Amino acid sequence: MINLFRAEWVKIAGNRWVAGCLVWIFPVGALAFMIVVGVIMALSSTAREQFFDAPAQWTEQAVAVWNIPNNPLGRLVLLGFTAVVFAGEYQWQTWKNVVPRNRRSLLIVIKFLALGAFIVTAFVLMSILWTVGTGVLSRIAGVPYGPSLTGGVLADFAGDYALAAALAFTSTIIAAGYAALAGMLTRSILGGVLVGFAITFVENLLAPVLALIGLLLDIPRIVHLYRLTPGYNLLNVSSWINSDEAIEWTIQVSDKARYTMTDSLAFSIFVLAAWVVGLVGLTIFLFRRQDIAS
Amino acid sequence: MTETPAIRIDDLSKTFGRRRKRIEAVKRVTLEIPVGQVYGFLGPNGAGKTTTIRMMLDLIRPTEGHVRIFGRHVRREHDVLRRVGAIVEGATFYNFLSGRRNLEVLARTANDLNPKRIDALLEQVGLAHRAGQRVKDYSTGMKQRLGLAAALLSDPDLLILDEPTNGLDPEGMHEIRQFIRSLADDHGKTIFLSSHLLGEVEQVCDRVAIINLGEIVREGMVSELLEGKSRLRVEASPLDRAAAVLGEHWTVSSNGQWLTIDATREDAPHLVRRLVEQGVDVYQVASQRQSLEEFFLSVVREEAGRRD
Repeated sequence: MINLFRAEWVKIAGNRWVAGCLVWIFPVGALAFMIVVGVIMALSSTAREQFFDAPAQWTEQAVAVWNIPNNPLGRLVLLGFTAVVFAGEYQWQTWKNVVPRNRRSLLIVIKFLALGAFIVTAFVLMSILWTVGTGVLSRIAGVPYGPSLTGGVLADFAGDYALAAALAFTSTIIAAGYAALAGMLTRSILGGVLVGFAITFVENLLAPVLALIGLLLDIPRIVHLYRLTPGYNLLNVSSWINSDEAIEWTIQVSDKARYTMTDSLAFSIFVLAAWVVGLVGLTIFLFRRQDIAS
Repeated sequence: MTETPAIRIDDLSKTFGRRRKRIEAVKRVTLEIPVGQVYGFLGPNGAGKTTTIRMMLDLIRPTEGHVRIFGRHVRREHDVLRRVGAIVEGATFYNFLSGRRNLEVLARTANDLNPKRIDALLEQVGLAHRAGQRVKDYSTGMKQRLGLAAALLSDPDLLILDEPTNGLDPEGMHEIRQFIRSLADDHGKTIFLSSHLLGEVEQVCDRVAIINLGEIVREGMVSELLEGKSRLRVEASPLDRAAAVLGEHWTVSSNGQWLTIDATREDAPHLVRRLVEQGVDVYQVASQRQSLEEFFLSVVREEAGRRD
């Protein structure tokens, strides 16, 4: 299994142009940003005074980076990347080399795991660069960079960081699930990207669509289905990590019907876990039955 | 005790599409290939060769029937495919990786990485000096050689090769033919070879099957299939009169310069006598053994005629 994981990793990382533009761009971008701002601050006293409204906290900086893979735009970028990884096997006609060498279910599971691990690695690197870079900038500006490293701070930070990383992993797996299904359907990278984007777009539009359906059918409570979408739950878990409170999502169905959704962390984790299991399971089920005819 | 065959295919069928778009690509194919043979699988384009091969490799689900490799059901016991190496419809790779990286990825996928074997195979197929180069810069022939190395990665007992000499120059083709023959003769490997180069098949295969429109139409040892399939080439004048005289007894075809008669060497004196009696001048009569290519074409045409 380790060999299979390494094979997938080499394939993902070896596609340097795609991995560079869609994944490594985040840590590289963070580094470039820090260098440019650092140079400006080193040269300009005005910049040194104005850059920080308030002293930054390294605990917040390290975790904030993880919001990127969990927000809608970040998810689209990840979806593009995962579409290349899944649909690429069809377009490059490489499944025919791979499938006879191992069980189909294992090939799919490891592909999901390798993708998730690859994205998490990139964002761990980005968070390290961002946190250290912000510390350097704080020093240049002469502002404190807390909090002090105590057992309690470290324990809280480790919990939030692990949850944020797990959430990014989950977000990647869900994007990969969409991309895998789209790739299987279209058997092309472009098709996989477009269909994957369409699914994500529809998911984001679901709140107003459900409100409209609720209004037309006079069952306004139907908008509560939005609570089951990955997008809403990813944002809710993010909110719990960053602010220790649920996201408040309000949908106005009619003058009389206005619904505000607030959900617990446990609820969102459960829904996201169901999506992960469902998407990976469906991908395996379909892939095991699929004819590799090209 | 009878040895388990390398490949046993029973009533294998595959239908693509439904209703009006329904295509029966393979129809009740049954074959048995003993261990250690080089087996040729011939057929015109669209005959069902590649679909059959894909079903043998568990890439396509059969609609009916099943494939057993070394006695094990390929769909239920997928692990048996670890004993199989294959090139299917041309060698394709991850173009952004080097030749060596591609082989490493495939070896790792099979959980069977052996760097020394990869080096040896790259040397064997003549790619050692280009192994670090990305596959996107390889020629078709180089990709085909890499495909052969990939097929041999796990030192398989059975090789399934679909057009293995595509894109190779004549010297490369000759090398591959010799290599295939030596794998069977010296190492006891079984080779299932699909090729449209019938001369190639005739030179290396012990036994062949001809598939047409999804059905096996002939199967047997190459020597048996071509036995008694000799022809006589007759140069005579006037040619059309000679054709008319001989056409009464034999199947005759003309290319405007000579006649080709479906007859044996023993028929030659009788044939010459008839021509001379009818006032035809005979310049030359030569016996020709029918090639596999001619046999293949005659079988395919015969099948087409039977269906019309």
